[in-house]
Amino acid sequence: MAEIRVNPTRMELKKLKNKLNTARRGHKLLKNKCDELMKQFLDVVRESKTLRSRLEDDLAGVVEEFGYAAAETDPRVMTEALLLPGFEGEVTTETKNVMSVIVPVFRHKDTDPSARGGVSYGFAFTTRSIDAAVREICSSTEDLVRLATLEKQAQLLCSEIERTRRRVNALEYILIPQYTETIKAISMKLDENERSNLTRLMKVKDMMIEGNRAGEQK
Amino acid sequence: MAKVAVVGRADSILCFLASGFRAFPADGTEEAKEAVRQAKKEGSDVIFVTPDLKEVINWADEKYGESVTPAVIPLPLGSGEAAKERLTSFVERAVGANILGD
Repeated sequence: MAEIRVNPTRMELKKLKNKLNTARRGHKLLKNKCDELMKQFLDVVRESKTLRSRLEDDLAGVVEEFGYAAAETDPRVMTEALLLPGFEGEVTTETKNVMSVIVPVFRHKDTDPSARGGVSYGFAFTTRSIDAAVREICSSTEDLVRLATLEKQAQLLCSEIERTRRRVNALEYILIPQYTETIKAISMKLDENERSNLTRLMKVKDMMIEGNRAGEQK
Repeated sequence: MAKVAVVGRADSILCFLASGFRAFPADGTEEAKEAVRQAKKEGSDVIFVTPDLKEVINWADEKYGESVTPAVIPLPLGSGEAAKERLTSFVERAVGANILGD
């Protein structure tokens, strides 16, 4: 691991030690964030998978019924019957903060579709296949909106986990080892300087003693 | 209050008119992309796309993947292979491997 090129001084050593502490603290926090995000993400994905397969089963029947209805009825009559729905397909969008990731929560406006009267067309020109299909699709609307919420949350959480993991890895495998190496190198250099200074002083002392001795002998 | 839009082949999405969703019929990929843009412009926060338009879903994931809205989601119609692959790719990106199986 390449160390950072800095002057081997006590000042730099102190700065680097502070940076190392911050990096270690950041690494711990980000790792915890990543773990929690992963837990939330897996819960969302599991729920989304279950809901999707249930909706697939529910809607398979609807598409079939609509197929029959479309075959039996004039397309213009079909479009006319469905043009003014008995339900508002509107959602409210709220946001939720999951570990500092802003995710949407969509809520369907009609919580109780049956309260709005169900079908909004006359039965005179349409077939019975369409009635069951419309009822089924209206009861699935809320689940569809819930599915949209879950899948969007999964998408946003997935991007955030990816980013956080990169940061954790960068800190763990690049920044922290770099700081540790540099701190070690600076400490070694300072120790070496200290030793050489000590040796020099001892040598000077020896020379002075020698000089004194030589003076006394004369 | 935002709308919910459905983009796809006319015969597949007609039934969703019944639940008050706005239908944007589109046959080809380009037409569907334009429909998604249009739906967003008209204030739809949730846009369902039929799963046969896989390229449109991938394009929308790149374009709107990082923003909170709109949510472009494959409709749960048919076998749902494309949607399953999409979820699997999320898991693979986040975890590094598909740990949920299938």
